[in-house]
Amino acid sequence: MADITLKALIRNRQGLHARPSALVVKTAARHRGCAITLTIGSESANAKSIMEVMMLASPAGTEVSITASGEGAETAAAEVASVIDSGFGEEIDPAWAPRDS
Amino acid sequence: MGSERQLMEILRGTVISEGVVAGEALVLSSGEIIVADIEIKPSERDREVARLRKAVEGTLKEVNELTDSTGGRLGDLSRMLGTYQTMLADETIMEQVVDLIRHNRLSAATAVRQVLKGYVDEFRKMGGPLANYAPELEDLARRLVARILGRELPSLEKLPRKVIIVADEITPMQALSIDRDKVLGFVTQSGSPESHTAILSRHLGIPAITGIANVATLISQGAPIIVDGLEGHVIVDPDKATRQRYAMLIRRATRTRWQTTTISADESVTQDGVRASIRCNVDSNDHVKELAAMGADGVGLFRTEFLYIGRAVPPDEKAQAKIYEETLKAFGDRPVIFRTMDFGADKFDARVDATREENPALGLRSIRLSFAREDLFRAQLRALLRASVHGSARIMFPMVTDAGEFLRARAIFDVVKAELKAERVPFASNVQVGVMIELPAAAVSSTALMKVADFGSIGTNDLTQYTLAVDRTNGRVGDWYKPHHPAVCQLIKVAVEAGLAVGKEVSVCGEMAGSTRLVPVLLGLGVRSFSMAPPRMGQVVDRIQRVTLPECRALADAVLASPDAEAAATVIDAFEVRNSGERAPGARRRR
Repeated sequence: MADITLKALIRNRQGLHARPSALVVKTAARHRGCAITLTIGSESANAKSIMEVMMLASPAGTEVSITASGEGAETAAAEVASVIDSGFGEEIDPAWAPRDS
Repeated sequence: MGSERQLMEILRGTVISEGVVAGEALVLSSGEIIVADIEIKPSERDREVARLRKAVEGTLKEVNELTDSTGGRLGDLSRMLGTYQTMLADETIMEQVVDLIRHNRLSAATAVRQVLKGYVDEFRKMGGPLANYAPELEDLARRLVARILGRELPSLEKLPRKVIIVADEITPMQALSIDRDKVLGFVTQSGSPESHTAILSRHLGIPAITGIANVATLISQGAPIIVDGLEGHVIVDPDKATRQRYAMLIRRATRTRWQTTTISADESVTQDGVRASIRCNVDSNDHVKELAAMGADGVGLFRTEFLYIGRAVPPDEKAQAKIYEETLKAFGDRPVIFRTMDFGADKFDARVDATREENPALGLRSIRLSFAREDLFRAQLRALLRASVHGSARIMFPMVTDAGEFLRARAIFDVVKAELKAERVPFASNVQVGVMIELPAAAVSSTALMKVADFGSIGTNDLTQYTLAVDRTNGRVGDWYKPHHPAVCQLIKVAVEAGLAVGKEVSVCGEMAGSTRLVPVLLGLGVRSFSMAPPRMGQVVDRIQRVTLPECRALADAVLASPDAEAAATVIDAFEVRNSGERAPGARRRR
């Protein structure tokens, strides 16, 4: 089975901090049969580990790659990407709001 | 024992939640539980792993119950419990701990502590917001170890009487389980304005002071203390005179708790009828509508750093304009003074520290950085001009040393205006452009500066730091930070008089403007416009109403004539004692 890689943008004003990290981990943990890795620049983290994700701490405007492999990789990667892209339900930084059209 | 006389002692820290309170100290020791470092036998491995799992389950249950009982109250703080839950369920942590038990023969307690301590150290090293979570992790480690060993942790749920909590740091779990009716205030060793202690204390509307090293060992259990969350002082074992003086302040502080108060700036008038304008300092466009409704005369300092710091790329011109517009609209025809970007090159991106400077306070920052990154500076000026049609915008440049630098910045502003005009973008043509007077050089050169600038604003925090060569956030020299120093006051006087000579306003926007103790000095030096953190406005108006100009002038003269800071402080204290008495309401003069 091939790995799936998707990209997402951190859009919330506060960036990737503890609470968003917890959301990512919660989402990732639902996909038991699937390994999910987040990559920012040269740093990677197991998306199911709060500690590793927290240590990726990044500001708004940072691009994140989500790589999933295993059972349901496609859905898993898409779910994690959408959590990040939606700004974790926090206030969106106007500079990084999704553009229409 | 009880008759033993204690000497009064004053500890200085940083205010994270305002207010004044007196009471008995409840000192929480952070005392780590001592764990015997014994190698476990192979036959004990399974038992240790089981103890670990049981402790994790128990703690998780406790956190869940706390989450339910707080029911989302306390906003961010409740949400932080979610972080505890996720940490407890974390795959990597548990794997690492179990690994240490199975392969390194560590007991469950030792293994948990070792793994979590590793993360705590790493978080501290990374700094920034992550460092704020270190106390949580430490707390989690402490709770797990206590459970594994079957020990009880001190509870704050049922306090016998009203107390002031003294601790290294308050953890979110402590904060949430605390008996709120019994806590009068907090004094802690560590904790930034974003820390849990700060969030909790502001939510409860009680004073909190942080940044006092080893505070839990300096204050003894049950000692009487006063928390002066206006000046940042903690007074241990206060003498009778001090207690009496504070009794009055405490009454007044309770009356002017800001969450519910609005001010009437029109009443900011001295006993002899001099009106002083009261503006507020803001850090972002959050809560700007509520701020506008508080009744200030405008915004004396809009810090624009939040647009840049901690972001990979600042918002573009239009997004910035939108943010400025929001504030301008909220304040209507009241002026909003925007300070252009004021930070060092190192702040662009916390992840990349490409240009390390030996001495960033004296380095490429503020207006210097604006010249070096003219692209960013122009974008900001264009955004400010775009927004200017929505209210009464003014712009000021930080860290200018002389008129030449000011004119160079203003020339860029004029070019940007011409560009916008050519592009047919509407903007207000009368936007005033002023200068921050925050370097000793600017104060000394203020006659030349005030000839070319439309207005001036004295940033007393930096002026004090640069004049006295002291970093006030450095705990080892914090005591040297004295805004009342005669040298600082002399520079303020020079700048204010330079403004008066050409009929231009020179206001004060540093913390000094929000200090009820120092406002009379500033009035005496000729300052008529004050800009401060919003919670201070009520108290400053109150203070202005209690003084007359001649007595303020006499006070300022005495400060200027003081041979040193100590003497100036004595003069100010004496004035404070004479002046802080309640006057009969009828004696207050209204315009």
